[in-house]
Amino acid sequence: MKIKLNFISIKNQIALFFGGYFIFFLLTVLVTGGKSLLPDTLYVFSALIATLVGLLVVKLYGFKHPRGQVLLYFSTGLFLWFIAEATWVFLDFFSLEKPYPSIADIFFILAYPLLFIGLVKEIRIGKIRWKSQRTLPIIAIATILGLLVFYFGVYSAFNPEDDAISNVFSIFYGLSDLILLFAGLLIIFVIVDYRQGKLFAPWLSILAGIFLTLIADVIFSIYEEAYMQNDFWVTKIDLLWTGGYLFIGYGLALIALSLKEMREKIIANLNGNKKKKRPKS
Amino acid sequence: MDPISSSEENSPKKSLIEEACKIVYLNFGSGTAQLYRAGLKDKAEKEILSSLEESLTELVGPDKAQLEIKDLKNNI
Repeated sequence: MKIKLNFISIKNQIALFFGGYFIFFLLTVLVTGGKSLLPDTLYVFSALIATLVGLLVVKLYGFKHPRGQVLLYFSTGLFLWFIAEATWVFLDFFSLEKPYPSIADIFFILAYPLLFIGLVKEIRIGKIRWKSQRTLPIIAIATILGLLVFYFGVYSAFNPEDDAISNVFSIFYGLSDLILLFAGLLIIFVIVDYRQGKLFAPWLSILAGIFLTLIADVIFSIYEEAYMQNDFWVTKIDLLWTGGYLFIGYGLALIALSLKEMREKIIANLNGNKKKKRPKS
Repeated sequence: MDPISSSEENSPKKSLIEEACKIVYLNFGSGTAQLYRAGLKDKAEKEILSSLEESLTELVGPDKAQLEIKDLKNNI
């Protein structure tokens, strides 16, 4: 039986999918209480969804295309996070090994530089216009957020009671989040120029996803022990990580839709003009 | 028609087409750029510029579109 959704635009169908996925995930988290396999599987798959959508956009731009390469770095970073999340869940539920610190962290950490390179490439393509009206507030926000991330994510992350590997990973996560924070704030300059264009909302969504991930990372670094002990409230930061993946996936899906729609319009305009021009008899 | 004048007239248009295709490539991807290039032959310069600006405005917004068109005119 085919279900036709013609009465809902494709854009709204995409929003329904990602929104519905998050709500379903939220319900499984609330129903199951603490850590459970079903919500964790949904959590892992949210990273996979974002990855697959990213690869679709890469294909639309072209693998050698500058923007295709931006999103290839993004998608590869997301894929590494998917592997990391899957490894974490496997270790947490099916192995006697602690999921943190573990091999999962290697995949988590490898993703950050790729995401950073993607953001920097997009900044270079986007050509930032430095205006004092925008620059000063962003510098102020960057300073405050940077200090917060540094304090909670790097300085406070060091715990003399933890082993050396845990401390190294914790500090590395904090530094990676700091770098990603600054790249994310810089890209605001690029996307502000996109306002009133189709690309504004997608990039805003991607940024929202990145910032949700950073917030979750910082909270994890503060309450790591409580998280590992499956504290009811602290483990709810999974909602932020999942929300992060879904916002990124949603943004990438909107880019794909925008490219497809614009391609069809451009072709229609070109064909429309060809039809109008007929040779005089 | 004088062939030298003809080629001089064609040169700005050729340059415009090249720059327009670069912009379409960068903003809309390689597939769209190929189709766009194929469809430009019969278009007047003014038409190329206005339709490009319209498409760019829809995708990246009026501010960015104006910047791109300004860069295009500087590069011709």
